[in-house]
Amino acid sequence: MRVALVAALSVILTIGIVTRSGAQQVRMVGGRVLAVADSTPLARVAVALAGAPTLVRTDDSGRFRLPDVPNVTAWVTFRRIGVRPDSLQVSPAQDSIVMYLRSAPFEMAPITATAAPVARERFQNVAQTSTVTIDREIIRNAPGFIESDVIRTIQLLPGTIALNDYTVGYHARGGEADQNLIQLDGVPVFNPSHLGGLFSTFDDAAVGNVTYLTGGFPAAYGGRLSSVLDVGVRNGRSEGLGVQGQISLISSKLLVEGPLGGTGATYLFAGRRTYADKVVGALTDETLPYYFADGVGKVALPLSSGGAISLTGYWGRDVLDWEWIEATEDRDPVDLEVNWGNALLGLHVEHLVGEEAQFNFHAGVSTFSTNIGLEPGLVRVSNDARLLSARASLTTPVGAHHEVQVGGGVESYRMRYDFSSEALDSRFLSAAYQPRIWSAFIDDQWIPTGRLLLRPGIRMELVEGADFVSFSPRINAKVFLTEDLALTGSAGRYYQALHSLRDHNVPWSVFDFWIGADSVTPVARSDHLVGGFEKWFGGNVTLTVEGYHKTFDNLITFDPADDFAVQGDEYRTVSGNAWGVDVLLRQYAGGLRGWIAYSYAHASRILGDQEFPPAHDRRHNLNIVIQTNGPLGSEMGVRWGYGTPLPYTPFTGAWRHREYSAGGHRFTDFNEEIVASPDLNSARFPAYGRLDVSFRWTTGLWGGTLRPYLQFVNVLNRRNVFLYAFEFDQTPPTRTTVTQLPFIPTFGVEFEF
Amino acid sequence: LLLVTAVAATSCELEEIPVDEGDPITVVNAVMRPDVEQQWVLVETSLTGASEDFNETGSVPGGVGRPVLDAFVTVANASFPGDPCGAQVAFDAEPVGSEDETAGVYWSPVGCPTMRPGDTLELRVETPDGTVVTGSTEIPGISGATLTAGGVEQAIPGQIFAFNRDVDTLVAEVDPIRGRALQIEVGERGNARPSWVFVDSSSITLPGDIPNFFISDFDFDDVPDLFLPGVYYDFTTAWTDRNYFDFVRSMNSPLSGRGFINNLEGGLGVFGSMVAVTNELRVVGNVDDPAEGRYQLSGVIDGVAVDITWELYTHATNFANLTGFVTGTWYFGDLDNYVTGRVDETNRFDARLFQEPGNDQDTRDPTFFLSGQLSPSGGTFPITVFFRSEAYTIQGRRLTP
Repeated sequence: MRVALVAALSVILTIGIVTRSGAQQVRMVGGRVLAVADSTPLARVAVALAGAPTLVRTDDSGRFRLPDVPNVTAWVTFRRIGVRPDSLQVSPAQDSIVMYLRSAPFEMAPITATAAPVARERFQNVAQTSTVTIDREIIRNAPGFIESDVIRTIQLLPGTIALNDYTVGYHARGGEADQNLIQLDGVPVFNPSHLGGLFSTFDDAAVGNVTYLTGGFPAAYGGRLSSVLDVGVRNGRSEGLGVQGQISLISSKLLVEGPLGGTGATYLFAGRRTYADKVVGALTDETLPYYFADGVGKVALPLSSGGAISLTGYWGRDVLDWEWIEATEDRDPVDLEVNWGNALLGLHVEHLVGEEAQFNFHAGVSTFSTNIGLEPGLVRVSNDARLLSARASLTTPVGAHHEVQVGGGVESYRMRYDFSSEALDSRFLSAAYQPRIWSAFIDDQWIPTGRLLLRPGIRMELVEGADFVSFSPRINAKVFLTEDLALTGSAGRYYQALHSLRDHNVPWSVFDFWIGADSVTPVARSDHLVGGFEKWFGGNVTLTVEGYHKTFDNLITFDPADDFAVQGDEYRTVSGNAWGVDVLLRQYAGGLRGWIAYSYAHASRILGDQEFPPAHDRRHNLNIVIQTNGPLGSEMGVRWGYGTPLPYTPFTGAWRHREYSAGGHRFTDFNEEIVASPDLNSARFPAYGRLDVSFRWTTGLWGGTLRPYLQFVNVLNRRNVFLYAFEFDQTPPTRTTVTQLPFIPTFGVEFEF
Repeated sequence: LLLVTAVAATSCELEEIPVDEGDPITVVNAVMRPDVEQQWVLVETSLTGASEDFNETGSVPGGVGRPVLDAFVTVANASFPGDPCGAQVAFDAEPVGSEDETAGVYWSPVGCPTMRPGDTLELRVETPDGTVVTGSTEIPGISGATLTAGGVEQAIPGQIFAFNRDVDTLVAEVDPIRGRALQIEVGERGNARPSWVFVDSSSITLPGDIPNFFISDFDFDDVPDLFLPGVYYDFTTAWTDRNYFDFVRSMNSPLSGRGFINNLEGGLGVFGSMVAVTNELRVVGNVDDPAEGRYQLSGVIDGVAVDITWELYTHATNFANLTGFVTGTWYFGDLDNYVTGRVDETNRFDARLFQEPGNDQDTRDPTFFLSGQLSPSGGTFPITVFFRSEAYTIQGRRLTP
């Protein structure tokens, strides 16, 4: 089987490097249109041959193909609202161009967003349910805690549940947080969070478009059951040096971008670091031994063929380094050293093959490591996860009604765990998981009639080690009832060979511990069925309603009875299902833009002989996000969220977990431990509500732009419950509520030159 | 994590309200010991908030609790049908040689049930309210145990084992027949609350200068050393069954209330087993401080002549920064013990001395408090001994430079 997959990949790669040429009287001119400011692709730009009636528009990636261009010197024009019209001379024999266009603010509405054309384009041309695209401006203007945050914004979309204010983990349509595929420029990120989940790893200033799929995702995607979050790092600007930065209450950010000489290549580098440790150290005698830092960079080179090569890198680290026991003349110091973080490097090659086809190749390495140690050598706990991946695809029209994408790839994982004490000469745990997943897929965008779009596909995966072969048929369909109204639907089967080894019913975890399928650990499976409609009101407002049903098999939850000496007993298997309805009413542009997202959901899980609602089973979830003009010339962002109660497992008492002395054959002490009800998640917290408001001003300074901002989290100071703590050793017993974020005002400033 | 704590501290509002009483659970704790003559089972109930008077029906050993009285407790050796103790051993005997009147503890007849390595014991507890708790354990066994340090290996139990905590590493190892994990206990001689650690193997290595992370009431600001020079220790090596291993390695998470590995049916707790050997350690150290060394203390206390040698050590890591072995003749006769105390930079010291082995004030009879100023360079120096509210002066003298 693996030989066949490798052969298929070889064919794809071979096809990818073949280019066609030929002497013709007319020619096809292809290329890309990018923004001068940041090299982001410009969609829906009208591209035409001067003096000729033929006109085409660029797609989501800014690409176009202009047919019937005479084989002489010709002028090609570019026009779109929001950009300065421009033209370019194309010499005889030239069949590809890259055009950079400047923005034209005098033609734009006071407030615009770029996602509308993308969404409309998708509505008209692509059969794909459950997809939302947001861009940098939306993320930046959404009110949040201290800093704008990509994943915090995603949590406000329909079908998405966040357990609380303290975690960037999210649950898509009844799935667990480990069922979300989160990619940065196509490279999966293992644990995309800082500070125990309070912030995500993505610097919004470096982010281009973000695409979020909550169901029915096409055959090109594999490896996760519930959602795909594709975060794209934008290209650096192609003209002049650009500098952006931000100073918030928690961190400083700096972004530098620009062209690389006259090569046409661009670069973008962004870095962020918290500075509370420095401030505390400078102003007091105390030490704050924690910080996090991250950096992202991208170098992109547009190819004259209309393709591009890009290299994306990311590095992030949370560090806690504390001299726990100070040195004395009799003893060396003991340091508590804790650090964790992600790093990745991804290569993406896009290559236009002939006049019609596009070849894509991704290769990447993604790592996550955690180290906890009492040093030197007393106790050391480490976990490192590494993914090496490569995949290729070829997209080509087949006849007049099909656009077929075929592809395949390999993902080679290695997750290692070690818990040992050099001082005690003991190894308590040593485990490794090394699944390798080979995949191949075919995906067909088929337009049988003008009113019907179909997208059948199938994905095949082979999981080495588990000896598991899967076939995942998928189909998306769209039927246009009118030009602005379409019925949509999808069905598909999804497999996941990776699992997070944690108790999914605990409301908070610092990060996931990943394990992979092997001879004893199963591959999880989910079937999706989605149906609904999408309606556009003019060019800026859309209403999407989707119902869904999902099944889950072979999920895992951590088994506390895990014996470290045995690999394969770490978990218990869980099954379940989820169904619900998601509604999204969204206005993309204008003086009032934003969305109303409502979700109605039911989710259940079966563990052993017990059926229970998972911790994220929220029946009603409503998020209203508005961005508009505010007072004092500000841009105002408002977010109001309401969620019906989430389940939790109530506590029924406490017990004294005693300590036994073998020497004295007696109990000497005890730890009091709370005891949970055997009925999982049989109680519910109160409903959740939160109103956030932000104001952002834009002013000129020294030729640049200054954007001070104010953010107010939980304006109504609602006491949302994070968790309950119980005391049963007193009469009457008591329950203490630990709340989520209270009213918190924060401020900061962004600058751009 | 500190920042998370800081954020949480500034952002969380704590609101406490009374709630309904919880559901009682029968808690059974028992560790079967083939190496001791009498077994016991502790039966209590979980805390529900029903009453704050935990001792209303008697006190539970090892801390307050709610004992269950009048339970019917039996243990059977399922691997030994001909057990001379009987098919079902009722735990209704009186404790032998103990004045312990704690409640909720059910004692076996002496020498019963029979326990051989690999035997399976089955527990049944029936409480007056009809709750039945059952469990089983497989008796572990070892064919021998050793201590090794400084190139010296010694079978245990045996004579006092000496090692230098500044240069040696102590290795404790058992040769298991059946069983799962190793528990090590280290406590100053006679200390009822030793430090303990368990490992998932049949041996453990303890560097002589390892900080004491294993003490139950751990204090971040004052982490003592596990081994101090000039101190006798009781060192217990216990080889346990799987149930006991699960009992000590798991706990309920404060977030979820789950996590403890419970191997009982109908209740909570442990029915485990272990075999253990205890050996004394005599821990010495390098003599690298001018005040350290051997001293002679002699004189008369309350009409009784005393004459002892004090092998004195100082150290910087513990509140008690002065220790030392004391041997010779003391007020009540022969003395072979150790003292602990404090010494300052001027060599003024205070220490306490017990006649009986050990240094646990709670269980000792007369305490001798010694106070004075050491003279490391030689010559005699006075030492005041406080004993039974009287002060006596004896003389100290440096024996080695």
